[in-house]
Amino acid sequence: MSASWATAVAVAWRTVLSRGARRRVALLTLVGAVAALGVLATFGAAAMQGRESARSGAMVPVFGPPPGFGGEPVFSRQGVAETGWTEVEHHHDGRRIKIVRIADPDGRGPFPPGISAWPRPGKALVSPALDELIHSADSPPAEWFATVDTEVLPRTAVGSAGQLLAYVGVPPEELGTQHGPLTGFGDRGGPGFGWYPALGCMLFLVMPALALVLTASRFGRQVRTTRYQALRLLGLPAAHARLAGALESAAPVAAGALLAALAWPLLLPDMFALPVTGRHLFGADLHVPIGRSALAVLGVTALAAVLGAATAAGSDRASRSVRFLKPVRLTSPWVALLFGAGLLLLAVAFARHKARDPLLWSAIVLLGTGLPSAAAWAGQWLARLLGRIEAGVVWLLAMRRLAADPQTRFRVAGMVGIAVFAVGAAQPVSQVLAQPDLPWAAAARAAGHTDLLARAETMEAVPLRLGEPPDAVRGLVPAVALWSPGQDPATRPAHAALVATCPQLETLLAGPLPDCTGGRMMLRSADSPEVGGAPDVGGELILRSADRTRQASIAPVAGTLELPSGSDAPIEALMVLPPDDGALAELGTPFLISTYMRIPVDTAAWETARTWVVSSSPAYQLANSYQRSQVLDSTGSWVLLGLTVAAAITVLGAVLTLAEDTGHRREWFALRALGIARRRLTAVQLTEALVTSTVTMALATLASTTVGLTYLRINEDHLDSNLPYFLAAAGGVTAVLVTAAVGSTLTLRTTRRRRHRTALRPAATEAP
Amino acid sequence: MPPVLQARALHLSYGPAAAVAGVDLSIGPGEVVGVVGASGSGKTTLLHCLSGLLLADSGSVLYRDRPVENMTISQRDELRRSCFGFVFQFGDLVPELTLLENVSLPVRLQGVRAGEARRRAAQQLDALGIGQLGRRTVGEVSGGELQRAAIARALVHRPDVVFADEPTGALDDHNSEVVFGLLLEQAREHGAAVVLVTHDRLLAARTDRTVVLAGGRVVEAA
Repeated sequence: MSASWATAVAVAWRTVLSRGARRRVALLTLVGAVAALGVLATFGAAAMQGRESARSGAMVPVFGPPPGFGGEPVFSRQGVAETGWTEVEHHHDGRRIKIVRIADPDGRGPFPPGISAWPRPGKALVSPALDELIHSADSPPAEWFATVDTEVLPRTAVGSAGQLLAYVGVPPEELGTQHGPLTGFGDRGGPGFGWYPALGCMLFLVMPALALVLTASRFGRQVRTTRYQALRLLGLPAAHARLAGALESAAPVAAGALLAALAWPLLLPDMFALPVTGRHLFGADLHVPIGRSALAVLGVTALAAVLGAATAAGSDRASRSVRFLKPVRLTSPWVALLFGAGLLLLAVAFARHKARDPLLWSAIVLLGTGLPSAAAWAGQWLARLLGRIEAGVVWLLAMRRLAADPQTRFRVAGMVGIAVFAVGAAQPVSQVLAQPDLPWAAAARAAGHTDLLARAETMEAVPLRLGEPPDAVRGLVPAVALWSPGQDPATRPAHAALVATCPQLETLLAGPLPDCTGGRMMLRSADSPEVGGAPDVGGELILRSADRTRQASIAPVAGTLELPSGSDAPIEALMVLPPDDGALAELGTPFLISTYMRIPVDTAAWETARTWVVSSSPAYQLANSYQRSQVLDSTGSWVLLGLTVAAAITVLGAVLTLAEDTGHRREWFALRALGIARRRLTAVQLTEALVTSTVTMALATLASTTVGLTYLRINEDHLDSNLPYFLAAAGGVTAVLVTAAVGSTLTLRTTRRRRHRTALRPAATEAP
Repeated sequence: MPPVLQARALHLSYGPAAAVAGVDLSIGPGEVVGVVGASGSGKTTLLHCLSGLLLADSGSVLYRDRPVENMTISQRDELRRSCFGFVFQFGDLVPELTLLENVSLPVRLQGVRAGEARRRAAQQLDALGIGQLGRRTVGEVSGGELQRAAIARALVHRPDVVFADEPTGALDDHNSEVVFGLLLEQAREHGAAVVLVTHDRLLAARTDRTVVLAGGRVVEAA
């Protein structure tokens, strides 16, 4: 090592250990720890995703061909010796509960990982999360399992910590399944969280860590520059000065990152719920392998070193005054290349309309990384244009400063952009990940409904056993079979009808029907052929008794069954199956059995009805249109999460503003000496921040909206509401305003607090 | 004539060290006062106290018999905006603006329309011999030209007092002579008093009166 290398290292090391640098070193150490934790959390999330996917994949049942395959379907198979399996999902408080009914008469299995024997009838194996739910007070699932002897599954037998899963043992004769026998378990390569989404999400998650290190690395830049200017004058090569600057930043950050890596396993409890999302995780799933932990520490350290070296680069200039002589140039438009390429890829992905298109995720990465530079360039360009407008001293100063200094507010703009982008990009992701967690009852009441038309249904041909309904169920049509829109036409039933007794229909339809004598009746479209052929769902409906002696026509008014979405309106009720009604058995095989119930819009009544359905017919689930639409619209928690991230990033932006503007103290001092009031300087800062942030927000909104639309298009999905986008835009605007206001306030408060001392002195008079 | 600016028993400390210790000073209208002293003697701090940029720990600064320390922040801003002018060692013009825009700033801050402010600024730049450089930015002129522009900015709004903190400290002898001569000439033409902080006794000797500071105290006045 040459003498100058040694000198540079020694200076850096002495600086780190000096008393004067204590606060900065403490800050850098803290930042190193927080940033490393962020990266470890990202790695941990990826690892968890892999572990959960592997476990979930190993739990997927594989069935043999069903009896009668290629021929007549079978409802149930009494007395079979094979292991049978049916499953149904219930929703409780926004969470999905999967209940598997399993019959294993000989105890031969097969079994998924973690299970050595299936439960006997009357017993159940439940996941840890469901066990917790069952044992919580006043929980409807507790009532569902009140008469069942439960045992907790090991974690190797559940996909994730939050999975609500139960294997309920049933006698074979009660199973009722159209599946073939259970032959094994294993991943069938279903849709998962692919590499490209993972990469995109990781970049988003790593951004805050990067911003933290970047912010902290800029603290003390002035002092560092002055120190290395002096050493440069003594002959220290520029590269060595940068090395010393890198060491100054990297050493404390490395210490913090190392501590974080060592502490990470200790920070993870056995099982915990994430705030806001309420998602349960196993701590062990988040463990990061040593290699990746080392990578996190080295990555954060390297980043700090690079940024530290960059802040020492100013030492190449001989004196501070020379900085003012540097010609002002417009930033090259090439810095917007990444952003432009991202938009281009998005356009291609939109046109290709291909599911899980890697172009989409590549575009997201490009847009996210290119946004700050593009925003800085666009802001500078716009400021040059706006600077031609005569609008007072504040406007003049703000526009000229913006146009001349691409670094001013550069990072603030970037941070705000990322915040907006994060909020915006959360919308399509939430379509996949979100759990319904909105107060649907309140939404229904707000829409003017006092009653809900609920539907109990199952995909299996399991008879619905409904005893005496509770008071909460005001009206009931005991057996209605629906033609599912996605059903294979080859297996489509021939007849279209809604079957119920006439009084039941009157109750259901909330109005009198002609010739209603109390017998069971069919309801079908008048335009549909009586036998065979696809029915026309439009036109008049004929209400006819089972013996076909009585008939009445009614208009299929949408208001007859007033449903918010109309997706389960009886106009789509096409097939008949009263399970125990021999008179109608001729009409064929049901595929999807549903039952309509009129229930008051009240969560307690809803839970009562659902408990009744589940306890009477466990294979059925109860849903209503509001709940289903919530699955699509339930982005509230994710928007909240995005806004929380935005708020955190906004604070970072404010700190960045502070860090940058302390470097401009000499300029502010000169302007104050001219008699420019503080409020005008505040206005200058506010204007600068607002212009750049507005430009950034516009670009980010463009990017996130385009991403959202492309995502929805390639997934053939739709949004019931534009609310998420409005929320995203509102979040972005809030972030912009808060950044601008807080940044300016913090900066000028420093001047006020220290007005009797050095704050108003020119930087040139300050000791390094 | 009554003094335009007075300091009475001014005292200001930075921690245990007194930067200004009991300074009394009186400056008449149009008077050019040189403040000299070694580095750390308190020259710049005294200048900042006199101009209201810093408030003293004790003592008083009177501008036309009005105590500056009793003024609100906005009143002190207004005082600097309309009655004072400043010239710093490195000019400290706003680097993003042209010379013309820099010089017009004090006038525009008084509410004068941009066109009129530019006209007055151009006149002032002409008077200092750099009228042709008005459209250049700070980075496109020499140090001497920069200081001339700084003087133009300090005088364009016809202040009562100009505070000059080492205005020739960054210039060579020739430019130093030119800039200093222009400062005195223009100040006298406009009837402005000048408080000149310098460590150059030769320059100070050309002022109307010289005050020598040492350890924050006035040790000599001539």
